[in-house]
Amino acid sequence: MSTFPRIALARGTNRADLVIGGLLIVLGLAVLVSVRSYPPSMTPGAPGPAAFPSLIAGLLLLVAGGLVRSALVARDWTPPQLDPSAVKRNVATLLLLVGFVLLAEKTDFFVSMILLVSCLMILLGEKASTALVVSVLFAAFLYVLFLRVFGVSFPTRF
Amino acid sequence: MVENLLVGLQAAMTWGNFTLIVLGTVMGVLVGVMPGLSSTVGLAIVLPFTFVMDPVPAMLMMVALYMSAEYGGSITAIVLGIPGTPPAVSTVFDGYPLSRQGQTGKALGVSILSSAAGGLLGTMVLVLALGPISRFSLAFGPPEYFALGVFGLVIVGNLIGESVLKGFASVLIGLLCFVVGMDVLSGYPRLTFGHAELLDGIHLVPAMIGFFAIAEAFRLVDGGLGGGQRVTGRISGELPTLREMRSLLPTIVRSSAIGSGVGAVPGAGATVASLIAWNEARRASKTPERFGNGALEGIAAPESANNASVGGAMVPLLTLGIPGSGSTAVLLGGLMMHGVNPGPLLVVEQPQLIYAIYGGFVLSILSMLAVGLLGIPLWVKVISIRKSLLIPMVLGISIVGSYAYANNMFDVALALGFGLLGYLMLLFGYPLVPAVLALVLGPMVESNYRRALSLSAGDHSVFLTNPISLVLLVLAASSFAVPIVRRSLRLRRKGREGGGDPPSAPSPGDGADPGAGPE
Repeated sequence: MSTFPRIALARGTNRADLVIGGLLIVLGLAVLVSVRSYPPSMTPGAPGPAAFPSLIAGLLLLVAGGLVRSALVARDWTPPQLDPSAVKRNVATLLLLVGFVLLAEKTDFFVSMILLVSCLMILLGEKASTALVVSVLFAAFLYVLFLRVFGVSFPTRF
Repeated sequence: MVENLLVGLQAAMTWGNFTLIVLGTVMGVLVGVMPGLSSTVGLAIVLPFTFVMDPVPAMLMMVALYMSAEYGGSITAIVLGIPGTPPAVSTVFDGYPLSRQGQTGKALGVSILSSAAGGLLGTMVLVLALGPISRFSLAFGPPEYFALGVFGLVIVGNLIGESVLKGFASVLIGLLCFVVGMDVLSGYPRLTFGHAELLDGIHLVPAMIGFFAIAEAFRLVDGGLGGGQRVTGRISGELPTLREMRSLLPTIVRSSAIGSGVGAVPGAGATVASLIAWNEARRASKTPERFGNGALEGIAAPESANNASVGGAMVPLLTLGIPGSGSTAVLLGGLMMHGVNPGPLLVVEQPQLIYAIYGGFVLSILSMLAVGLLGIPLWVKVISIRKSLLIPMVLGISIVGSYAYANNMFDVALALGFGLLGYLMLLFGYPLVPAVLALVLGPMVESNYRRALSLSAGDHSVFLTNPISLVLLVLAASSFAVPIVRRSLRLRRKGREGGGDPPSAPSPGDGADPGAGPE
């Protein structure tokens, strides 16, 4: 096992920077367009609600331009190398989390939590029986602590 | 100073507070021990548990966690040669070799005693520095606060991560996120795209949970799921002798001074402090060849420095409202959540909170000492916890915490969105801490920018005619420009030397850890 989990891509960041720089340019332009309709300040001479977002968008365009430029200068077009199994696990994790958000409000927060945690544990290689026992205990702990002790109101049927 | 500390101890010393401090210590050591989790992640996870508490106990618990996580990282570093937290990297250099020589107990003993001594010296620096800096900053007006916010963001964007541009992109992403919501001065909704949930702005707590805890969980999934590290062999119970500890005293004092100073600099943090301290200890040693082979000073230096940096980091946080790291950003979020606004007036308006924090530091150190020494066999077992159990639980607590902040599922979705954004930023080498600091400091920067311009009738020279803001802005501008100019000069020189060949890009992640940032 490495000292730390992989943190950043070892290769292919120039191509990524080009794409990210491009996206940030689009974002900066979208903000500039969006704030054009904001009203001016009521106090004469004082900046209105559009001033600060415009300033940030302008700086974002500069920084994004710099990212694109440095990527173009480097001319290293190695595609980003992603570990397919890690990508699959992360996508599955994300889908489970999105599923939880959709399910929790319509059904029960803590039952959905048991489902989420046990599915995640199984996805990450835990035995189904262990996953079920641990997730039930874990959800029960959260239920007692947050709902009973802290008095937080959850979408729950129990 | 002693009087303030005693008042603080009195304020902090109730059974309820003491229980929370011990709980915070245990949680801190736990997150410190587990590779991949850090004090920042621990604080983000524990933040929702403090919702129902008063500010003082909430802060005490978080301070205890922050302090003990810095120590916890050394256990994994010494026992397995894997730093449990980024600041423990330099503890590996001598801690692991000593452990392999069969002196694990001694290495762990030096680590906990040095951590406690460093923590105490850092607390003294905090107590001594807080009053004078607060009094100095009482004179600050809107231009100075704007310049201070800009300075903090520029320094953090510059120091953390592999590239200045990526650091600044991260700062600007954070500032754009802050802009979302109703403008405080005019009441006009900005960048909400018709979503009523966004009128209130992006809530800091779900955003921080997403950026730090959920992104970290994705990163752990990404990093491979090998089981926890099983510790083989017996941990020796031999502790350092009094004589050995006495000989380490100069190293501990020097390293604590380094830790407190570096900890107070935004963007530097515990990792940088412990590396500098280790290097300085080696330079000061008459037998530098022992370093890297199990020198006790090589453990004492980084451990005292990283714990002293906690006290140092609290100085700009409490006096100016400027967090210099991910952990202090979460602490600031926690304070704001409880209606406490750090800044020069905090010392005047809520001295009882300040004194309680002083007392909390001292009690946290005592608690860390007890929990650290007595729990060594348990902490060593914690290292074996499988990631397949750990990651789902981190995600589960993150979800509940995001929900509990305002009792709505929108915040959970927001936290997940920030988690994904944070993970992608880490993957492509964009540091997270600058984005979070921008989200936290955004309100201060914008409101003071607009107030200063209102007072000067739109004249931007107000920022340059004021000496303090001028100095801060010049420092900020030069710290932004110098690395870029230096890099382009280097590339140009390389291009010339290479006979006109296109210059190659610097290898990303050359020893840098964009995600770790300062603790």
